[in-house]
Amino acid sequence: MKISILIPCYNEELTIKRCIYSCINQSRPADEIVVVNDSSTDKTVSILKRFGSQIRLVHTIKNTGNKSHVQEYGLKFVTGDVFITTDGDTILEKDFVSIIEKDMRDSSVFAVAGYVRSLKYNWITSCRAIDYAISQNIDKLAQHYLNFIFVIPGAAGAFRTEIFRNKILFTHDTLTEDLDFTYRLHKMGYKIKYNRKAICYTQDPSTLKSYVNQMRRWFAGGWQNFLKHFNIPEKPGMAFELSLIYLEGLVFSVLAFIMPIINLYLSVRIFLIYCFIIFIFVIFGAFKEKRPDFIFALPGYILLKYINAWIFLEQFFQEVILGRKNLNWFKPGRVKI
Amino acid sequence: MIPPLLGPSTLIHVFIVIIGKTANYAKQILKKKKNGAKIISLIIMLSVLLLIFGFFYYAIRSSVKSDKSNLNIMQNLLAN
Repeated sequence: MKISILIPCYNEELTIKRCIYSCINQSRPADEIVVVNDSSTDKTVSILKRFGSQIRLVHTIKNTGNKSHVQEYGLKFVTGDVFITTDGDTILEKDFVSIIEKDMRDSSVFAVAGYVRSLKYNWITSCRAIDYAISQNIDKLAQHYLNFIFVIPGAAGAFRTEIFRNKILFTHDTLTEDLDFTYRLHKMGYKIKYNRKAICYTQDPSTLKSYVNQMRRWFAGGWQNFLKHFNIPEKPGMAFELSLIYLEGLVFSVLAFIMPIINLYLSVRIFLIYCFIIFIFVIFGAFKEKRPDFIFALPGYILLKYINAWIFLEQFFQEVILGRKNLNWFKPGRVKI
Repeated sequence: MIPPLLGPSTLIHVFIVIIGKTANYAKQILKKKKNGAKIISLIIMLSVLLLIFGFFYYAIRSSVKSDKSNLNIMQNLLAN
């Protein structure tokens, strides 16, 4: 089985070197590493050229400004039976390719969703790491049992190349192409496996501004995909999960802001109970990821949850009520890894 | 996309995971792929599930009893 790694990148001079090293130094080497430079304006290209024949470097004709365009272009150069998608700021664990190969030996599996960890930097990245720990060890595991993985992460996904090329057309009409692919794969009846041992480390926003902008992209993309794939799904697990996540998000986000106006005393009591429940989950996440810094990020985590709720409602209003389809891709600032 | 808030969906998912893992362990034990640790984990999970359901059963029963006794008191007051 020939395995390729496809890495779209734009202005990744601070992170691309470690990303490529992690792809090269795999326990089971990838047969091909295709790096697609989306007309970077910094030192990304000169860094990539130093890797010589170890990677296949291709360039877009002009900056596309959108990851799905870059992936579509790069897929033309992929020759492997299976291709792994990752990002220019992501580090793959040493046995990532080996684990993907084992999963793909099962011919019924079409795609594999890996496990994403956030690189440690400050309290904001710790909060993101808490979210990853809870969502991947509880939510995603439950989705695995319901036979509906909500999303194959763009930083840690693997697909069968030929079927992807022939059946999955890139549509570039949402801000979260990974959600779009995943929903389409489910509708086509392809089997998606979730493997928590296929681990990668990614860089998440480290400033509040870039965090907010990324959440805007994620939630805008989420609502865009919800509207795009709104047909009643045949999979009961899919219908259940979509209803649960979007409806709960909407109802509780509204309640979070309206309750204090309706009954301040009751909302304070509910808030304290909510904080206690979050504390339990944060302890779970800290234990699971061996990250004691999660405990200290708890107050920030609760604050970011309310910010998330606000942005979720804001994007619901913009994408669903007003019908404004925002396709401006936001790229968070990078720090050296 | 990560859910915006930690809500009932996460708690529901916890139940699904416990039930799913319990079913998996049970399947493996039935296929005779058992080992001591898996049997102990299965017993613990079943106990947790029983405790959770027992708690909800007790809570609902207490609530119903309390409603019934409140109803009786109201009826007595109205009769008087």
